Amino acid sequence: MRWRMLLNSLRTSRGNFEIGARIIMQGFFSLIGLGIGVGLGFGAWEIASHDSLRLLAALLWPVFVIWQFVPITIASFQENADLSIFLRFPLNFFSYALFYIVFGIFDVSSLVGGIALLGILIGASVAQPSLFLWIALVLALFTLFNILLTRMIFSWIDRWLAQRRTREVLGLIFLFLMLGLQLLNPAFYRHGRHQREVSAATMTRGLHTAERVQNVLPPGLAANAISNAHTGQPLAAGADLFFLGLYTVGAGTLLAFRLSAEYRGESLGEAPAPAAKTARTRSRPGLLPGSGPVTAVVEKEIRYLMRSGVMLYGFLAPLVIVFLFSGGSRNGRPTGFAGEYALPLGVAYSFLGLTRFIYNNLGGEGAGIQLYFLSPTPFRKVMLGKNIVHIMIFLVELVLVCAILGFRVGMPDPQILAITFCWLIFAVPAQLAIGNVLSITMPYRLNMTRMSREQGAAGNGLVSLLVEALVFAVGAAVFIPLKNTGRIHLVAPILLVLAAGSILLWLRILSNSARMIQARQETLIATLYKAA
Amino acid sequence: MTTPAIATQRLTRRFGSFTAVDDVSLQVAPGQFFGFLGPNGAGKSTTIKMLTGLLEPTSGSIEILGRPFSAAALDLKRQIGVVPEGMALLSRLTASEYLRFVGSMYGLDRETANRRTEELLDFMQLANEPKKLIADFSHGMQKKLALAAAVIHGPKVLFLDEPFEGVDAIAAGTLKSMLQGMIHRGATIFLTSHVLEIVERLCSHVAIIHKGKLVANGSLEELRAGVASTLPGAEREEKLTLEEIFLNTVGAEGAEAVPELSWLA
Repeated sequence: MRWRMLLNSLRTSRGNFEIGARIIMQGFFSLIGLGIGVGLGFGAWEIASHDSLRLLAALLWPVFVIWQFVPITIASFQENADLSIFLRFPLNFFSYALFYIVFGIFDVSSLVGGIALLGILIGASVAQPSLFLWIALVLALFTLFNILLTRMIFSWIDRWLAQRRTREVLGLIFLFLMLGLQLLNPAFYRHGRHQREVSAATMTRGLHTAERVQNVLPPGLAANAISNAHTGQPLAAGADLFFLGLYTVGAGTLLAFRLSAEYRGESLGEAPAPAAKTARTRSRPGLLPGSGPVTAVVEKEIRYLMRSGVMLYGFLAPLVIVFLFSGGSRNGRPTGFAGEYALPLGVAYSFLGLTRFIYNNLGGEGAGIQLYFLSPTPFRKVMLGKNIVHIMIFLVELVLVCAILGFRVGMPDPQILAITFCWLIFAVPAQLAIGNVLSITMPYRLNMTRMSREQGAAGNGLVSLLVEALVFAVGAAVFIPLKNTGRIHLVAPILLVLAAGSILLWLRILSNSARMIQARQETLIATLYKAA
Repeated sequence: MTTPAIATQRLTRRFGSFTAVDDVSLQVAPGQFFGFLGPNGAGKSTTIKMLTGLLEPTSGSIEILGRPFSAAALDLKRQIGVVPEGMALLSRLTASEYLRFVGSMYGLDRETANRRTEELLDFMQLANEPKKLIADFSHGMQKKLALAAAVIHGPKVLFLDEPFEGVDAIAAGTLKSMLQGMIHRGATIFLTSHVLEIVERLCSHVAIIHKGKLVANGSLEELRAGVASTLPGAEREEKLTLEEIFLNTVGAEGAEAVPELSWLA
């Protein structure tokens, strides 16, 4: 069926572009995976050559992190299945679960992770040929564990984000987790410009503790299973494999538990429980003062955002990465988002979470897209309302990033702060302008209740990534040469000149949006309303 | 001569080599309740989409209230209301939020939109669950809401694409009562439907489209007389129902030998 759908989509130029974009994206991430795989392969060969197979854990942990954490933070690029359409067929639960696991298995994280593990298998097997079958078995089980775990996590996130009550609870847990990490982990703690020195003994104790902990976690178990087989301890190797299998079964069980509820016909809608029905009441008036179509669109967009756990998740998830990586250091020097460029890097990264908002701002309309064609409101007012909400979200995101970074690494240098703001005045209108164009020319239907990536998202995703990279590159291209030549004071004015251009571009595209959308009216309705 | 509320002249729409609507010319007088009928795939929805600006005609012209109509005719759009195929609802809003949103999109000030929203919700009996999202509405509730949204701005011309499809008798009664009230106050209603009994009860004039072409157009009496004249003597005396008129007009061409499905229980 999927092959047939793929072939049918080639009938249209849009379909061809979409497949081309998928090939490019898959190819790009495959190359990244290949690079990682080759690197890890050499690492595995080196480790295996020196009979230190226990150190394979140092390679398996990054694979695990990439496989699990990257999709969570870049949810818009993950393909997850909404298989409820199959429930009307006489499908047994096993088949349903298998569909869920296999559908979209070739997503970015699986691709990169799978190639990385293949590299490790080849590297270690070349150095230790007699262990090939055992290593293959262990890594195959590790692969299965990662696939099931990813699927399990997303299925539960879908569930938790679908309803307001659990969304609120999740939000509170998220907040306490962030605060808890800050309070409990001294290794991440930096306050202002005073760096707390960590003694060698403390580091050693920490490393021993970490090693003991990782030995009972899947990457450590996989490495130990291989190492124990190599050192002639089959029982220990078997036990490690068994416990890895238990983790796999555990992930599968949690996934099956979630899927069984879907299989029984669970509804993830926002309908209140019957007991919650009260006597007839009037709903509250509008969120904002004033009237008019622009205000109405702003209110509607805010309501949609607050009622979509998926959109909120995409908005908040990058902040987790900003938080986690904003306190790192190596040899006393800040890494990641830490340091003087923490703010621009953190802001640029947080843009990734706003991709769906900006570059597919009509995706959630569904059948409601027809209303914009039926009503006498010029479409530029609709786009303006949506863009106002996007700007509001940008500002909130900026405040949160500043707050996180200020708390963890201290206030940024005033010059960097000013340059970042000037870059934002250039970047935001530029992204809104291109985002409006893409939303009209490359829309795809968004499921507001599930983290599923709908058909048509690859092309939009590819172009949006390129635009984001370009916008960031422009800022870097202005900043780096001027800083290196001691003329950093020119960066802000140049960015402001570029900002004037991007604002003009945005206004121009707004004024042309009615003409653009009229030309694509049928395609938009077919894509957003009729597409399954 | 009264200016027609709706007039089309040689309206045509092609999709590639396929002609969905072929040279359709019709007029709907102001205050008429006009039924537009046809078998599945005849071109009804395509016609109504062109009349409401959701689809651009390949050729031909449309006039609404005596003025040329196109998707860019924003002033005219203020005077028409539409319940399109798919209903154009925003599923993540409540009924009142959606109606107020539509009111604003049609240029109503906030106070008027709020007042009419409450009145419409009461009329449609949708006010009892103010926090329920449209996504969780039954089909009938969604239809009622879509109709409420189509009339909130007090249009002079109303286009309804299958308004009674999937609607129970109680909800259909509410819709009928509202539509008849609008006709009494001078509105014009253009309706497509497969529920011929309702069309026969409500509509004064009917057009039938088949394979993209207009095959019948006139008052119910005119259509009865036209079909009756083709019937044998005895049958001519009986008053034909709209279903019989419809089947006589399109049924002979559409009837094909249907194979027997012997495996069906």
